[in-house]
Amino acid sequence: MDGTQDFPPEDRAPVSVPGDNGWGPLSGLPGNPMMWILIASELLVFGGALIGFAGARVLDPQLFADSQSMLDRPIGALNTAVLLTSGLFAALAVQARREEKGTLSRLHLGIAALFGVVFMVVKFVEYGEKFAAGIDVDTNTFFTLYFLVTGFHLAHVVFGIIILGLVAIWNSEENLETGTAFWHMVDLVWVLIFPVIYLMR
Amino acid sequence: MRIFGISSGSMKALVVAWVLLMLLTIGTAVAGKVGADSHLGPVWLGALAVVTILKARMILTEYLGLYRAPGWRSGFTTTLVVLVGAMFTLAALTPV
Repeated sequence: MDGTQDFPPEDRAPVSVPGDNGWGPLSGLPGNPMMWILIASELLVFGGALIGFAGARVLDPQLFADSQSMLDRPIGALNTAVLLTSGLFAALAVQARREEKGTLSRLHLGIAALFGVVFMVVKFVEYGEKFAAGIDVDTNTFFTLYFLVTGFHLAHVVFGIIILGLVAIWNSEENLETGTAFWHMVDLVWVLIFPVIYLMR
Repeated sequence: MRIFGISSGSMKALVVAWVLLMLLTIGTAVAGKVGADSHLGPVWLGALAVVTILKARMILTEYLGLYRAPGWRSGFTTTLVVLVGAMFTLAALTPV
């Protein structure tokens, strides 16, 4: 039996209000709301991992202090600036698209992706130095968490660069807002990772 | 919303946000004593947590465009405060 028959049509809760595209309160967010569900999920996943990292540090502070001193903190700070600059150009690309400047928008996306590649290269150099020193994911708890968290983030950087390329081709305003939102999520997560893994001591 | 008198959602506002993010990144390096190996202590840990939250909020507001959705911005900021607060509380509880 159809339960809705119990109520006259005017008493039923509306599925959506006009203009919200069926997303209810999520329709106020820029870009596709599904991307925001992903952003919230990723924030909780990385946040949980970093709380786990801080908890593991409480249990073995000396191991974490010794291992953390082997990280290159200035390079981590430099990579923060690189990623945030990349984020600026991704945001400028959306703004240019809103102003109907398609070529400028694509140029900004290209620069954003280029800074993303710089971040990747710096990260690979950093990993290379660790491997050359005989440090890998199995070395100890600190480095297991370091490689897992930063490696998972790096995978997002790679995926984000691909997304920037895709929205440069199919560059509707909504696509750009959605694609660059993913890229800013990558920024946001790194802004949490850097102080917790590299600096907190 | 306005950032230093400039309306959010303009190219100028994005550049101002980037400048502030660069200054906050320097703040992160200072609070986190990037060039030293010494223990941070509760004051510097607190400063690092505050700078981290300010940077994240700036990304949410200007880069991600949540100036258009202040309710969502508050929700995300609250979540960040809880997460960062938990991380740095554990750091403050870690024996030296």
